Amino acid sequence: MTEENYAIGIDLGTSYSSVCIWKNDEVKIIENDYGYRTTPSYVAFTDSEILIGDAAKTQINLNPCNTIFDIPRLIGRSIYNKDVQSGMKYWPFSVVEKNEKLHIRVKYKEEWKDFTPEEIASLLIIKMKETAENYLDRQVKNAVITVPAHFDNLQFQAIKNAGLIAGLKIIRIINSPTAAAIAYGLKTKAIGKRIVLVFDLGGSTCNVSLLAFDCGIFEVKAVIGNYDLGGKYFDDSIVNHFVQEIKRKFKKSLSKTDLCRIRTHCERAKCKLSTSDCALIEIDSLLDDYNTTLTRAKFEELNEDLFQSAINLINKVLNDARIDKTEVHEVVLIGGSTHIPRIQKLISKFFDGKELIKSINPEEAAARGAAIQAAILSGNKSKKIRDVLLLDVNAFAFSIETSDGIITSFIERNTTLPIEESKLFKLSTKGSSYKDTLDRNPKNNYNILIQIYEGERYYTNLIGQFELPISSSASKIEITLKLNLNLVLKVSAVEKINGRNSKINKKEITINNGLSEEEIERMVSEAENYRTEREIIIQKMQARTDFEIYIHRLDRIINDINNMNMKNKLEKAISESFTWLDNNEEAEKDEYERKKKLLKETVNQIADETLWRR
Amino acid sequence: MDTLPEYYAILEVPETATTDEIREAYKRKALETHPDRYTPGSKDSGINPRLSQEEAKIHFQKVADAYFVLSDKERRAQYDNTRASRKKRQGNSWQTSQADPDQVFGDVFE
Repeated sequence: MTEENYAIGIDLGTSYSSVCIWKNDEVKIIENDYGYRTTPSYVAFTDSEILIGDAAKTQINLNPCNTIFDIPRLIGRSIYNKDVQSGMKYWPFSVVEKNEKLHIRVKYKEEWKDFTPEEIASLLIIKMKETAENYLDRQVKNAVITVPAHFDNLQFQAIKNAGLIAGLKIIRIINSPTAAAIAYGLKTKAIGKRIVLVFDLGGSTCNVSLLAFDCGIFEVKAVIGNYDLGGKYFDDSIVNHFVQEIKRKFKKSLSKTDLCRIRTHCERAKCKLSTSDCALIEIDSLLDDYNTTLTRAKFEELNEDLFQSAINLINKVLNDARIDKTEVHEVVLIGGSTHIPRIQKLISKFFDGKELIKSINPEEAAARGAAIQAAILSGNKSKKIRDVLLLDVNAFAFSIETSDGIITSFIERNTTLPIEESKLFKLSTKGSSYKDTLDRNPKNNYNILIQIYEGERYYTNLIGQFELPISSSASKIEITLKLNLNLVLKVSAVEKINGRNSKINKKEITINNGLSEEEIERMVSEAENYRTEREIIIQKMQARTDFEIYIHRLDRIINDINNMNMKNKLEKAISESFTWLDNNEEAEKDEYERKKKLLKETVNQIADETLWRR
Repeated sequence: MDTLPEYYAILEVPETATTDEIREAYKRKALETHPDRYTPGSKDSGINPRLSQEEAKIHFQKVADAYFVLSDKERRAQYDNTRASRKKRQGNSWQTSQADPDQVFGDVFE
């Protein structure tokens, strides 16, 4: 393993992110500058700086419109996406469309500025990268990153671009339940083949992975994800319930701030109901201090449909993998919402009373798995991971539509990566009207439009298209789809004349989410700027703190000075410095350093004078 | 293009192999050829060390295809049937064992 190849594991969660490394033959979660093992996935813009993580989350109530969260729900998506639209109803920050792309509009340094979700994600990635770098005391260039299981190809590309902007090469993206499964599997080291189902119910997503463990081989059988399910939606049900009740009893409508506060209290009540049967909800200064109770039974009743749809996902993943529920050896729970007793009960009942595994840390498991995969990919020769291999699958199907409107399915869901599929398409020759409907190009040849779709049946999404020129003598074309381990999709088409590939009429495209290289370059340099700005602020704070520490030390020392003349002079100098500090909250680094130097000189001068006179 | 692949040969198992044996063979072959594990020039892997990463990838794809078919009872039975009937046809001096792509995909554009 070389320095160049060294990679870290990052779990970029909807609510929290964490970073993990492989060191001395084991995985280690790195604590952030606050000493926490997870960092809130929050970014905030203020009059003077950009805050990331804990610093951003703690000031959200003071600065709600410029504090961004829920990035995995925004990245790689259009503003018209159903989930984005539903999120926009309650996100305090504003989401706008600019150049046909989704942007987030914030006030930064008293100016309006639009950021792409990739840029916001890159700030989170930078934070995680720096956390690891501070611990390792060296630069990190590569990372394996985990994302929710419902991420589609465009979202994968967007995450990769966010990595580039942050100065990190994302060498692999894995679904969070799959990553958690690796961490769990490596920990248990059981022998023989086992089928393991990982159920991941988080803040706003529900992901299920079904894997076959066999010694070190982790073979993903099927994955499924749903972003309409999770803790936030359970909160919604409670909020709606109480809003209805308040409307009925008090005939009063509620403001957005009221709703925000009710939501906070409902979330707390929900967590409490995981361990007790009843939770008291007390909201100060809302309708003369509103009080009410929520029982666990009521909470379960309000959410029964949602809970049931989580169970349906388990059923679906088993069907996809053609595995019967009796064949499942272990069911592993991760994600905060799996603490809900009703969920546990329903899952256990579904598996005929099976005991569920809750022993792995739900917040850290995904990052651990990512770090293991990072170690493997960076060529770590540790014995522990020598025989470990993840055989991952693609979560979405792909199909091709040709000019005649016929859709041919190409790659099925849950196919082991990497994938390469070729298919031959015959061009009609019997004077059919088909060729006549094609656009004629200047060389009197034809163009065939090839469109690439992701998804199947109810959900298809056009992700790319191109035109292939074909000569009149061609009878067939061959279309090839290549999906590599990094989920980059390449589509190529070539015309066939007498069974041979044409050397002229061929084309290959790589599906990308539309950020051009120039755009990425611009964002990289802007990210550099933000970073420099942040560094300047950190240095400034450091200089101020240094100065403060020096004054406080002096302040303590003068108590022991007997020479009243010297003492008075020093006290004057100290109080002047304190006043200056109070009046100069936002001074530059140099000024703090200069003031400290001046004070030092004054102190020496006072000492010289008084000692000399004595 | 549509030659029937020799899945048993790819996994290096006999036609009579049990599901367990097929799985074992797949595990071994996957560790040898998967691009995450294969380093060109390394003698550790059972495959030709002169293969490039790209060639190893193609090798792995064949291995994965073979396992996909042979690990599932239904798919394996179907494969065995097709294979047997093609062999029979070859025995009857059938010109070619290739399926005519036109037959398979011809109706797509008509």
